[in-house]
Amino acid sequence: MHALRMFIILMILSSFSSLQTGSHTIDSVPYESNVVVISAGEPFNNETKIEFPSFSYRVTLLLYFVIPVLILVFFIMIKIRQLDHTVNDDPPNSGLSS
Amino acid sequence: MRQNLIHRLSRLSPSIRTWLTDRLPVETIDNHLKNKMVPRHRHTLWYYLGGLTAFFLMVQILTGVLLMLYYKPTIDGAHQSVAYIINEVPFGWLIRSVHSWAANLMIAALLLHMVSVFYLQAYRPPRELMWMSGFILLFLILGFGFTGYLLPWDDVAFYATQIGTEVPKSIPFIGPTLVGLLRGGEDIGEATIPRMYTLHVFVLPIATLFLIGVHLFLNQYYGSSKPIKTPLKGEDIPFYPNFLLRDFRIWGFAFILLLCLSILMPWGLGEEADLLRPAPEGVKPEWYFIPMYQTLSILPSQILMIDGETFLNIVLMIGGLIVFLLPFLDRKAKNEERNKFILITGTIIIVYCIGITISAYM
Ligand code: HEM
Repeated sequence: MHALRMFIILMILSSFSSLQTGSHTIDSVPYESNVVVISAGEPFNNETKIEFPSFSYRVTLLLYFVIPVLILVFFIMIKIRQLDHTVNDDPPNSGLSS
Repeated sequence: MRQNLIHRLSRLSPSIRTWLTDRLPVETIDNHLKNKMVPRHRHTLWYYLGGLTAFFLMVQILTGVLLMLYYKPTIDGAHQSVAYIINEVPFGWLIRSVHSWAANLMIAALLLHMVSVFYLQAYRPPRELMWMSGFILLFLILGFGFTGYLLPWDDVAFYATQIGTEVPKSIPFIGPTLVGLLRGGEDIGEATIPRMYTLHVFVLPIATLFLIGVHLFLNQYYGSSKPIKTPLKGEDIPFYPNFLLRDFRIWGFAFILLLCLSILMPWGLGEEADLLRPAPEGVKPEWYFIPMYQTLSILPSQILMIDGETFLNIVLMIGGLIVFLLPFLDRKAKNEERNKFILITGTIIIVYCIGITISAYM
């Protein structure tokens, strides 16, 4: 599982560095209308305006997070399969640890 | 094939391994980790919920610490600082949104966890202390929800907390003092925010982490329970690492759900609270307080010669005590028998809570 370990370390490092600097990938996403204004807390939305990034920016951001997580989950599932095979292959009551 | 901790450490570096095993009982820790087995049966799915709750709690701690860097717990600063976090701080809107959504998801996971251990009757001996520590955790986590709700100091938060802190007033003897302590005076105002904040970021986290430590230690010690009269599917699997990896898989999916909610439906902020404005119509507390709140609104003002609110408080306290002591009251479960009476009573209460919550939103 060296590949998995390397992958996790790289992912953690890259997300730290991108969060620190505001990653290139995210910053270079074109804004749709710069910002969308959403006032929450209906029915009191008179004055306070809070601004969220545009929808397309948010969708890109979501993909940026979701794809690595999905890949990680995929690796975890492979590892689970491997481990389960060794559990099933062991004769009953054998110490499972090597 | 299953590698133990020592084996793994030795692959890291022989000198690190020697250094650690010289100083720490690595072998004992290792044996302890291997101790816990998870049974496989058709209800194994429910074993993920406790871990899922713990996952959301970790998210809360991480995002909460980041929010603390900018949040100001004062009457003038609270609302402004939250707006600042959303508008100005890089990814501030995201961190706050994740914190708010994960709080709700955590409470949902927690309630499902409690309901599932109830139906599996996992509270039966020897796991009484797990149920009892869990029950106290439930209140601590609801406490997080309650105290955190006021912190953005917007209109909805303000009035919901007003209503919420009204409820304990009618607890006999200690009610008014308790409300005074929570509010820092007669009404919610300048003194309330620092109180809620201190509870939210200091008192509750310390108590919660301690109790989770106890809860998880006990779980590690006893292993997971086998449900009554349920056929097992093959051998038990080791928790570490086999089941832990399954937990991680679920956490991955939960993280994706959390991100979808937080990014696609970012958590908003209402108008700043104004102490002088009259309460607007239709302000509701958070969904997990609705059953209590809604019951209060349909109760007659006088029941059995006592005030409706006092009546509800007394019923809730007695009910809470019964649930807390459930492992000792359920004699059938002790003998590995399903207790129909308790299961049906529990089901009625759960159906009532769901029904009244839905009706409140209709
Ligand atoms: C912050 C809140 C909580 C966390 C983080 C937590 C975490 C966990 C974890 C990780 C487990 C082992 C896996 C599982 O069986 O799901 C567990 C088991 C258990 N929990 Fe919790 N829990 C919490 C609250 C509660 C509550 C509110 C109750 C009930 C009142 C409760 C009662 C139990 C019991 C009885 C078990 C043993 C289940 C068995 O062995 O089959 N827990 N908890």
